[in-house]
Amino acid sequence: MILSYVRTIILYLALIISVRLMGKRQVGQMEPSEFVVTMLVANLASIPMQDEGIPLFSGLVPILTVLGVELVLAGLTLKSIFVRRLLCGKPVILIENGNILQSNLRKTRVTMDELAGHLREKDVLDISSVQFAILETNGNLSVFPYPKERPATAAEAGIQTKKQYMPITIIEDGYVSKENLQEAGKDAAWLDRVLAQRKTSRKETLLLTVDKSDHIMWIPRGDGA
Amino acid sequence: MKRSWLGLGILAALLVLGFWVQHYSQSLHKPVVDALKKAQTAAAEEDWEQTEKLVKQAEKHWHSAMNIRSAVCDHDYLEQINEGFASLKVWRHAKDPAATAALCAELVSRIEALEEAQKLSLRNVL
Repeated sequence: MILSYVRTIILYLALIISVRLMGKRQVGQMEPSEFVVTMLVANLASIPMQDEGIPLFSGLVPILTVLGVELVLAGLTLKSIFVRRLLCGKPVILIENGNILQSNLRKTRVTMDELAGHLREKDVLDISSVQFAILETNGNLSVFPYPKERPATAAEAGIQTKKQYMPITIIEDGYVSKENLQEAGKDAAWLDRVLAQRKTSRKETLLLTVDKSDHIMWIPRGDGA
Repeated sequence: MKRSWLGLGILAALLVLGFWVQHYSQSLHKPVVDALKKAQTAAAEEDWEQTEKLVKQAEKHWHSAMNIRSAVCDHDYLEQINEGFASLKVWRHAKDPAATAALCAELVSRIEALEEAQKLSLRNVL
């Protein structure tokens, strides 16, 4: 039992490091090569985890090999359009000026049901209102309705908008981030003042954020607040 | 691009490690195989003192790098060879020349097969 425990920890750590090095991307946004690598790595790790008869290196070496190949290919993908096209394919236009390009639909093996489903996900019911629909290399469908069909942006509607700032977390779960406090240009005295105004303490704070316009958001701990 | 170099480094390191393991396991197995072959001849000639000495020598070499073997070789296969050495002790004490020589030959072929399995050859790749 202890053997399985130790082996699982080693392989688990190897997986975490591999995935971290591959970069932070959502599963749904994976390129084909990344998806394959993720599937492979997960399967490669599980076999030596379960079977103690398989040497540990038989699990580690393939994972590291897959990681090495993935890193090299990712670098080549950045440098070479040819390799990028080879590994990731290229985006395909499925709808152009309201017309479905059936040959591209066949080429990409996307059925009408799937296309309609993707469009509904983008709140589009009428295909003729779509100027372009492009099937991206990660399998997502980008939909661009005609400008007249799109909701107006604030700029188009002539609406004055407020500046938007990134909130910086000062307290999370009762712990003060000194680094973020410094980044926000504040100090401990300011924090004590803010908490005193709200008649609370650091320990009683679930979340406290501040942005460049000095807008403070404070959420206390507990349901009753 | 830094990550590509890291990937290339990992692949190169694994390649070097792979060749080193292949070379090292050959050098590990050679003294075991040599001693067992001599023990086979000694057992056939019913020279039990020499057989005992050679088998112990082979066993010592076999167990000397068990951790490295366990890291790269199939554990079930290693267990079979360990059992073979245990059986060899029984036949040696029984002073059965045919059975001892046959078991020595079997162990030699198993260890050579283990070594063969580590080799980078088209057959193994396929």
